[in-house]
Amino acid sequence: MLLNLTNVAVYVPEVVSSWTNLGGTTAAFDGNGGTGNVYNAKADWDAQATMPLQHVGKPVRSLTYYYVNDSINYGKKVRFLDLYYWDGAKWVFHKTFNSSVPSVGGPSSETHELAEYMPNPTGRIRVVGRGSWDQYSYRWVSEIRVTV
Amino acid sequence: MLMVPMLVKAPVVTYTETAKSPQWQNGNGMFDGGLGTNTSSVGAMGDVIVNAKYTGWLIVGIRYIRDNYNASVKADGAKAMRIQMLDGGVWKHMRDVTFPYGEYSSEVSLLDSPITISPDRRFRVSILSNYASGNGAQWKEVEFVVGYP
Repeated sequence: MLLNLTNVAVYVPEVVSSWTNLGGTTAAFDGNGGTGNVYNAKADWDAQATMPLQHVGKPVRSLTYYYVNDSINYGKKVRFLDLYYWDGAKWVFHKTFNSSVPSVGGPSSETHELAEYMPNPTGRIRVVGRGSWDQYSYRWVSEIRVTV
Repeated sequence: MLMVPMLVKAPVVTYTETAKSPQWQNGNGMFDGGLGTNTSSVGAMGDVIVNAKYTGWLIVGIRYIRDNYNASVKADGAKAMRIQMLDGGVWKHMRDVTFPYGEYSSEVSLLDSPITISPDRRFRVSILSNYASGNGAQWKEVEFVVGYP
């Protein structure tokens, strides 16, 4: 049997790195690529933002969390990332991601590819970073990006 | 008052580390344990036999380390990589992962659906695509993050 492939859509991933309507811990969604504004404190961070209109409605396929890998701050990588979307009335929890142990000079970003894509009906997402690997319990976030 | 116990799903993996002391074959520098600079092209691959200690462990992440000292080398960063595992003498396609653009060192987590290390302990990683318009692909090292339940 011959397959007609002419109508097969080719997926082109879109990296979402600019945001509006920042809320909560804005360092996560400030779109600066991790320079400048960062979150570095003992409390868990909780960040909300809205992606540009052209991405709204496209399922979220991956999340990348940016942190630091220097000898002083590497342990501030958070242990857990909770991912939510706004359904128009409330935040809907989608998934918690565990992080792997950090190392000095190791990676400065960790990408979580979603086996089950997250609905994205409004373009508003929320990410909460909980706990850390740091003995002093500091948490760090330089940036959050997602692909749709 | 009736107390309803909260169901908490425990993490699948309770401990992680970077795989140590791998052996490599056709390594292309990907798994040599050093930070040399290797430049090749899309399609390059490296084979590795992970330490016997990790038999039955899980691969929970893949780390990709490369140069980022100028824009052209940034673009030669790998975009997609394929992980294969030798299982019963057959190379099996386990996962394709995508790395972000522009990072010196990045990790794609497989904690969500880890790969159980087979008795062969042999893996192959190949570069499927890059971020450049050309065909160059550059890396210093590729590592696995391993863990156990």
